[in-house]
Formats: sequence, structure tokens, C-alpha cells
Amino acid sequence: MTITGLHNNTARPSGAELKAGTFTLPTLCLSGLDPDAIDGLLQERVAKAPHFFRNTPVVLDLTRANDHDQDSGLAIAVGAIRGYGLVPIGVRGGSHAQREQARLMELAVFPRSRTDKGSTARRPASRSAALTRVIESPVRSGQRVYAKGGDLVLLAPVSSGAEVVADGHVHAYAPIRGRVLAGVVGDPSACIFCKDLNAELVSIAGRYKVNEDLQPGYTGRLVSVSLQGEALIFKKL
Amino acid sequence: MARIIVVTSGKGGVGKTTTAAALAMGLAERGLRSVVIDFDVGLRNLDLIMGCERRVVYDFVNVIQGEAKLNQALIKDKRNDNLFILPASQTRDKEALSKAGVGAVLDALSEEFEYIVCDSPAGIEVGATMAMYYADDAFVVTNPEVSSVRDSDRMIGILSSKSRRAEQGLEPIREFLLLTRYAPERVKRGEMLSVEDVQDILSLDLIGVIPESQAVLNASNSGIPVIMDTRSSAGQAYSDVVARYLGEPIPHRFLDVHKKGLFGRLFGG
Repeated sequence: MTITGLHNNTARPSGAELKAGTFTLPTLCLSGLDPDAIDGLLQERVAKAPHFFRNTPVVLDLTRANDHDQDSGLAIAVGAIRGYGLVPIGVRGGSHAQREQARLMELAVFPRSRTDKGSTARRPASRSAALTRVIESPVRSGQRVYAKGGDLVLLAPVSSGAEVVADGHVHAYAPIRGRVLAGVVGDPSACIFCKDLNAELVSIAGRYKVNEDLQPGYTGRLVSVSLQGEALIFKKL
Repeated sequence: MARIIVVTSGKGGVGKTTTAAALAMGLAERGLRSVVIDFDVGLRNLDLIMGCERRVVYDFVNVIQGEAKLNQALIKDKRNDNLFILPASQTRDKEALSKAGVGAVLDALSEEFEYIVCDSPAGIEVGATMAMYYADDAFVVTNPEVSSVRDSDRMIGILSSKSRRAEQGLEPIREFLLLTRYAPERVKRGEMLSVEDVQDILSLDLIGVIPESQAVLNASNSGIPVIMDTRSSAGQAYSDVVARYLGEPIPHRFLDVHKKGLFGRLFGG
């Protein structure tokens, strides 16, 4: 979620200044306030990337949390989350009582998000298409395109000096002459499919090859790249 | 409303100023009221190419900073009544260009002229971004070699993300590829990228190919836009470019190796 602060042009005292700032914050969606359930949710994730979670501000989304939790439920849940190094800074949604509790704990209370209108059952269907990014114009030298959380589809060339990055697969229907990186958050099953692969650098989940190490014979034709173990496997299609 | 054209490249020395001068003169020769502005504050050259360097009193920066009126800074071309030059300051630096100031000058010029040609400095810093910010059309000047092609590619990316049209979500800038200093015999020997190579890398509409020609240097030295040298191949190629820009379908010339006749071979024509 995003928070936009106020901007004040006129006030220019030496001590404090109010400036606009936009932050993207992770949101923790809680289906209940049971500390055991929260342990179950966080334990594995924090173990995978402890640095990522240390001192990370987080917003608690209570939209799906039960209304009839006890009064102290939120305080215990916040305590459990703090135990993992996260810093809860506010809540969103939840019952009136829960929001009142949040205020007492000096947490911010954010308005309910507009996209959350109850019918959660419909969301998964539109999700995959929304996460796929389709690029129809050339990616120029110095430009960077990132498909966060999904696939990247390229319908125009990627110039040398440009960078195309996806959390998922990269599908290119035009030549790639820049850098191409798939599965950048560490997904080893991500692949690259390319009509004409002459990239400066090819990478899947952090394993990479530079142009000089690409075998000749794979440029100028339909190629797939996947990761097997530690090795990038190139296949003519 | 005037049409604002930026002549840009990223890389230096590829022929931006030569092109800006030729383009402005070519439009003026067709009876279109045109003005050419030098955005290369601190390294001004356009006045030399246009042959008006001894008539510069006030400049673009003076107008932006309110030290002179626009009409005081505009220099009327002696050869063509439709053409005016707005020179750059040689004593300031490019930080003197502000978005609001440049916008105000372009607005004022728009009322009087049909075409405003902006001669961009090299690089991608403030001078270059100011020159392209308000553009409607862009001439991307490129030499057929890899570093120039890459810099042009970078510039095209900036045109499509940092211009007024991009920021306001308007119809994007029309971008044209102009290849300059093209030498067909060197392309044939594999020493230079071909038109097809460059188009393939940049995927852009080709508006013209200007052949490498001694006439360009001669024209610069004498302060005459090369388009006025109608006997030279470069001059003719620039005339073609102006015609194509105005919508006339003209085939490309000077792409193939010119076969030298007996006299040519004897005298090195």
C-alpha cells in the first residue's frame, strides 16, 4: 500500500519541514488474531529472508480478521509480529473495537482500501493477467522494465544497454540485445523464451551468462532458456 | 500554432547543428516562416553555421531572464526573409535554461512562426532535455557506427518518457531517423553499419540519409547552410529530407556505391 504525505510549500523554518513522501509498505493480511496462526504464517518466511523482515514497517490488514476476537487480541497479535522484527505501524479494516484498540496502541488507522469490496472470490481470476506486463514499444538503451510478481511479454525489441526484468518468465517476440533477467526474486522455475536472443546478459534466479559466454548458433533463432541445478540450459525451439 | 522540431542525437559531432541549419533553411525556402534556436548554451555554434556570428547582440538566455525582448535577440537571415535565428549565450551555462523560461519563449515564437527548430546540445543533461521537452517532432541524427546508434537509442527513450507530451499523456513525439555521414563504399567493405542495420537496431522511420560529403565542411566554414549548395549530394539529400518531412513521397538516394566514370577514375572525382 502507498501513503502520500502532505506537502507544505510556505513553511520553511529551520527546525522542521513538512515534505511529501511516498512509501510502498508491505501489508500483512491476517485472517485472525490468533498468535499461533501468525507464528505459522511468519516463521517460515522470516527464516527464508531474515534481513528483509528486520525493522520493516508493515500495515496489518484486518479486513478478513474475525470480528468477535477478544479485546486484547490485537495487542497480542502485534506483540507476536514485533517478535519477528517487523514494525507494525498501522491497521486497515477490522471491527470498530479493533480500530479503537489500534488507536490506544498509537498505531495509525488507515481507511479501508477501495479495491477490497468483499467479493474476494473473484480476485484470483483477474490476478494472473494483471500481473503479466505486456510491452509493445521498443525498450531503449538506459530504460528498465520490471514485471513485478509476474511474467513479462515483449512485442518490440530490447536495445543494448536496456534491461528487462521479471519475477516470472520472460517471453520475447522480438530481438533482445540488452540484459534479460527472469525469476529475479529467486524462482528457479522461471524461463526465458526469445525469438532472437543476442542479449548482453541472460539470467535466471541469479545464475547468469554474459554475451561472450553464449554459444554461437543460438542467436537469431527461437530459443528457450531454463535453469537446471546451477546451469542455464539453452534450447533451440 | 507552430510545430516544434528538435534535432537531437545524444552523441556529439554527428551533425545536429548542420541538420538544424539545413532544416530551418529548407523550410524557409518553401515559404514557411521558421526560426532556429541554439540550445547549446556555453558552446554555441549555430550562429557560425548560419553565418550570422557577427550580428549577435542579445541571446536566448537574455530573453529567458528578461534582459532583452525576443525581437531584440532574433536575428533575421540575410538570404531568406522567412528565416530567423535565436543564438545561444556563450558566456553562461546550461543551468540558465529553465523549463518555464523555455516554454514562455517557445509560446511567444509560436504566435509568429510556423516551424521552430531546436538545435539540441550533445549529451542527455539539462540543455538536451530542455531542447526536446516541448517538441512535437524529433529528428534523431545518427552516424552509422555503434556508439552513435546506442546514444540515439538512449535519446529516443528519453524522448518517450521525459517530454511534455509523455508527461501529459498526449500523442507521442513523432520520431524520425536521419542517418548522416553515410559512406556507401565503406558500408560495402563492412567498415560501417548499413541503413538496414541501423533501422533494425533503432526500429524507427527513416526520413533520410545524408552522404558523407566535403560540401558539409565547406558550407560550415563559409557560414552557408549546406542545403543551399544544390550541386552537392549532401545539399540535395537535405532537400529531400525537408520534402519528406512535409509529406512528399520521395525515394531515398545516395545509398549505393557511385560508379566512377573514366574521368572520375583519372581525376579522383
